[in-house]
Amino acid sequence: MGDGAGMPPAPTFESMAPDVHLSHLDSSGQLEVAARAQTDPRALARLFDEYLPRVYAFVARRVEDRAAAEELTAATLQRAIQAVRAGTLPESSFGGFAYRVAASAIVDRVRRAGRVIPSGLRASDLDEGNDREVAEAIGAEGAARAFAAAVDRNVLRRSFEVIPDAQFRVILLRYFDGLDIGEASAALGCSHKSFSVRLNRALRALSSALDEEAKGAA
Amino acid sequence: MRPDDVTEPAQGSADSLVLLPVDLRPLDAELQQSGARARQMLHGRTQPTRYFVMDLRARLLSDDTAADTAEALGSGVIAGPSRIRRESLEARRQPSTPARPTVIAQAAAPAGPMVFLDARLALFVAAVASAALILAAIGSGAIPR
Repeated sequence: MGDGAGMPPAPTFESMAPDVHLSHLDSSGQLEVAARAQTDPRALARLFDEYLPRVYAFVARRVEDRAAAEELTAATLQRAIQAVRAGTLPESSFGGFAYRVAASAIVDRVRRAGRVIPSGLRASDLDEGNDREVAEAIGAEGAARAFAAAVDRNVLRRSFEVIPDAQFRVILLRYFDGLDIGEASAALGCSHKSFSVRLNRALRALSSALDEEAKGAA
Repeated sequence: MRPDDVTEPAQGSADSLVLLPVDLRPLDAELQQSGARARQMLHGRTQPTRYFVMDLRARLLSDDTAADTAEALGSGVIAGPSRIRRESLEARRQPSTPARPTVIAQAAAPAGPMVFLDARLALFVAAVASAALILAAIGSGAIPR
């Protein structure tokens, strides 16, 4: 193998921490590396190094069982790498695609935990009514607890329980997971613009809940 | 609507541009701080183990790429175990050579003249001669029956 000339420096193990604010490939950089990764194993390894710790952290914040987190992470990255090799990666970034697959895998795991799914069927095939929303809410339960524990203001913590689950999940993706708008919108399966609107609405709802709390206290 | 009510990007990076009204920015900042704190609190639990990283790398990427990147990551952290694992794998991959009989006689060459062989022959000749003498003596009557 070569000496890595022209490649960005590989991250050290310490830098593979799940803090998403560490320097990382931006969307255009990801697409460029993903395009090269189709034929260049080193570029593929770069994507792997970049996203394994992030995707694992994303899953582990929602799934407390380490073995399950590893299983879901492995399945997610396997699918993402297959998409890169096959050249079928969607327009969204590699990270966005990986987060979306991971989010679906977590919801699917919650669904399967509650019932026996015959082989050949997707867990979602047996959904009834608002089962998907319930599964998403359960999947985000651990994340919600952890995020609330890190919030200083009691009144803000209480406001989390007032706003709708769907809006709170937007807040979790943006602030708890620290995803950028491209990754967060891909995880939710919506456009950047749509995510911005959802985030604005969620913050507005939270702000209103805070105002109500303040009025109630007064 | 006043000019300072116009929404502006809440983040500097082009990737994380989110247009937020001015009145929501303090809440945005507070949530960002809380999120960073939460990730810090969960840091240990949300970090993959080295074994998992290396195992998944070996499964998803080719062996050569895995070893190359592992070395680039720093020999003190990951490359050590990886190298051991790789060496052991390569050792297992060695094609088995067909068993060939070893010629022991060549390996154990005689150290000196064949003294024992000559001695045994002499003893045999002496025994035969003795037997012949005894039979001859019996036949001639020198030894009474």
